[in-house]
Parts: sequence; C-alpha cells; structure tokens
Amino acid sequence: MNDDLRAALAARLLATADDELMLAHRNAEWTGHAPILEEDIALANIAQDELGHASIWYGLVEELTGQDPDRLVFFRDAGEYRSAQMVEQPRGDWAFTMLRQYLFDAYEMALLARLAGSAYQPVADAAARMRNEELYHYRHSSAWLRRLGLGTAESNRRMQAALDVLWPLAGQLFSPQPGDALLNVEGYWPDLNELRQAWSGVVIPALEEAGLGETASAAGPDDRRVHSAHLDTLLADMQMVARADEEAVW
Amino acid sequence: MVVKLSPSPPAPPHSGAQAVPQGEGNFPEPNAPTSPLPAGEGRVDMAAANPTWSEGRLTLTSDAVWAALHEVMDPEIPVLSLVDLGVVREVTVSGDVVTVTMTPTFSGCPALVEMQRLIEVRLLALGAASVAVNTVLAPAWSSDWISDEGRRKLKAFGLAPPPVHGGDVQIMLFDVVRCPRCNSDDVLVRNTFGSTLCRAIYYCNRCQDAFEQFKPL
Repeated sequence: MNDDLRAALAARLLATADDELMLAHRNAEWTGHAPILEEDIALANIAQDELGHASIWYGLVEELTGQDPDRLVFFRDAGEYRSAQMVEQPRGDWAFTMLRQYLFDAYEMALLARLAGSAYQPVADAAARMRNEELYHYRHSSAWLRRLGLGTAESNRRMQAALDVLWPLAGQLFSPQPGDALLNVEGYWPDLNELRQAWSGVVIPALEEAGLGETASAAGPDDRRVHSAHLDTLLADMQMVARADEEAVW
Repeated sequence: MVVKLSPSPPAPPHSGAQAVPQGEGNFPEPNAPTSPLPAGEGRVDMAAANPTWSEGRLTLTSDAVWAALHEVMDPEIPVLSLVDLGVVREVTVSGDVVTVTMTPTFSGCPALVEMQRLIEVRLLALGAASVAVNTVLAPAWSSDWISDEGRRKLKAFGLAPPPVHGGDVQIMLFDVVRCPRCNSDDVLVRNTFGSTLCRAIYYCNRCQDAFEQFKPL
C-alpha cells in the first residue's frame, strides 16, 4: 500500500471510529436516566456495541499508522477529531436520541453491507463482525421511529423538531475527505454519493411512513474538521480522568 | 414497566467438568489427574490427553490443551466452557509454547480480556512455559458455533439457547423461542437487549415469570 492510499484509509477509518465513539458517549449519558428500565438497558447495550465498533476501527488505524487508540481517544483536542456534528450534539430528549440513532443505524447498516465486500481484508472482516450486531440496533431504533412518529401529537411534534435539527447535519456523514477517490478506486471504501442515495432510499420513505414531513433543507456542515462547541464539552467530560494523570496505568 | 427477574436457578450439578481452581499459587501439578469431561461433543480421551514427561521434559499435546480449555468457563455464563461457546478457533503447541487463537463474540464484549487471562492461567497451570492468546475477527463468530452440549448447559442454566440460523436473518430474529424452564412457546419478547450484550429478556406466560435468552448472532 503506498503512502497516499494508507493516509486516505487511515483518515476514513478515523472518521468512522470517531463517529461511533461520540455516539456511544452520548448514548451512555442516558444510563440511569432513560424513561423506562428496558430502554435504559437497551441504550446501554447499544452504546457498548458502538464503543466496541469504535475500538475495532481504532485498532485498524493503529495497524496503519502506529497510533495508540487510547491516545487517540483521550489526548486529542476537538480540532483533531473527525466525527460528524450530528453525533456530537447533546442527547436532547428521548425523541432526539432515538431519531439520531435511527438515522445513524440506517447509515451504518448501508455502510457495513458495502464494507463487508471491501478489498482491504481487515475492513471486510470487521464489517462482517459488526453487521448482525447493528441489525439489533436498527430494528430497535426503527421501532421507536414509528412508535413516536405515529404515537401522540406531542411525540410526533418532538420527532419533527428533532428531524429539523438532525436532517441538515446528517449530510456530513457522506461528505468527502481528501483521498476518498483513491479508496474508491481500490475498492477499499464505497463511494459516498452512492451510499447517500442508498441511505436516502431507506430513510425518506420510513420518515414519511412515521408521519414526519418536510424539513429544512439548509446546507449543514461539510468539513469534518469543523466542530460544534458541543464537542468541547463532551471531550471535557470524556477525557477528564485520563488527562488528570497522563502517566497513570489502568 | 419493570420486569422482575427471578434469581437465576442454581447451576445444575452437571456431569464432571468441574473447573480446576485457577487462583494463582494454586496450580495443580502438571501431571495431576484431570477431572473427567462430560460425555458428548468435544470429549477427549483424558489418558491420552494428559501431558507426559519424556526424558525429563514435559510434552504438551494439543489434545491436552483442548481438554484444559474445556474447563475454562465463560466469565458471564459460568456453566459454559469457552470451547462449548465456540470462541476457541485453533490451538498450536510447539514444545511447551502454546498459541491459542480465539474470536470475540460481540465486538464490545467486555469479557474478552478476562477470557484471555483465564486461558493463560489455565494453560500455565497445565505446564505451558508461555501462552499467547491471539484474537481474530474472521470468520466472524456466530451463535451457531455454540455446541450441542453448550446449548444443553445454557438451558439447564436458565438461558434459552439461540436458534441455529445458518446466517439467515429471518430465522435469527424471528424463530420460536421456548421457555428454558417449561418449554412453552407462549412467550413474549420484553427486550432484545439484556443484562449483557449477548442476552435478551423474555416473559413466559405459562410460568408467569421472566427469563433470558442467549441472543442469536
């Protein structure tokens, strides 16, 4: 693998790992606070799964660049993260958390299906491991999409409000990074425009069936190097203990 | 709604396969008799499997390592060995150096590190000079790999075993689940997520009590 290709793949893996890490962190914030016990358990499980996925993706970054996953997670500043702003947003209400999870799960399902055929074998192996786990998430969040979208006027209103915030942000999941074209040529990573079409083909009808409608089409953030202020507060919380004593042995 | 989980039924006095004490400083002698394994899948002839001393040097066999791994239990399901769970993929013995290749169940399973430690402790006790436990992701672990013996043990432990799905998602997610206590299929799924990543919560209408299932994956 030449240096350009290696750098492009590492950058894409890092962005994918960062997305999973932030979503896991936001979901974990519900532990002990979810509306009912079953959902508390379910969301803690989902968070743990996403953290497991992040760990695998960071491991693949390490194989390519030698960067220690623990350092990547606990000792980067906000500007060095490549997570999408959608997963950095505060957890909001239950509708916001479930709709974000749904939009992300649909994205991850489509992504993993394609990555399972990646020409870079470690990526294909990782995706094959994660696909069935993700299926449980997707079923769960799909059920909540319908339950809240078709529930009461209040639950529908909250879902629509969540969609109005999330929809412009979701596009960043598919925004290009330098080197993506190389990855696509090699068959290492799917074309993100095609991925976006596949995702839209699933989520738009599902949103409509759940009684959710037109939403703002304002252009959202594009560059994954640009973050909202929410990432700073998230990192302050997530990294506080590790940074209190850099030399501590766990 | 709060599901009241009944306390887990006590582990059955299952036939043999008592875990060898694994506390450090409590290692059995390399040639100490090993407790017999249960009949059934993965049964190993213990007489042939025991490590032997040849010309003053311990000879470890692959069979002896597999037999020892039959005694290393899943930290979250203490009646199920790692071999019955299907996570041990390969054993290589070179002199007194043992390499075990295993595959994780769920990506985020926190028991993986503990499983690796338990394998190392057990094989050092068996007489290995060094133990390497490698983790591979491919082929991806499937709950189909849980042995028949493992499925019986799960059920006896009070965990409904996962349906064998052969990769078919429809079977994986929608096959009939039976109550591990009364075998009734009059059950309701309460939560596809449970107390560990690998468990779902059901309710048996006949027993009028909750039970857990080992989730198909």
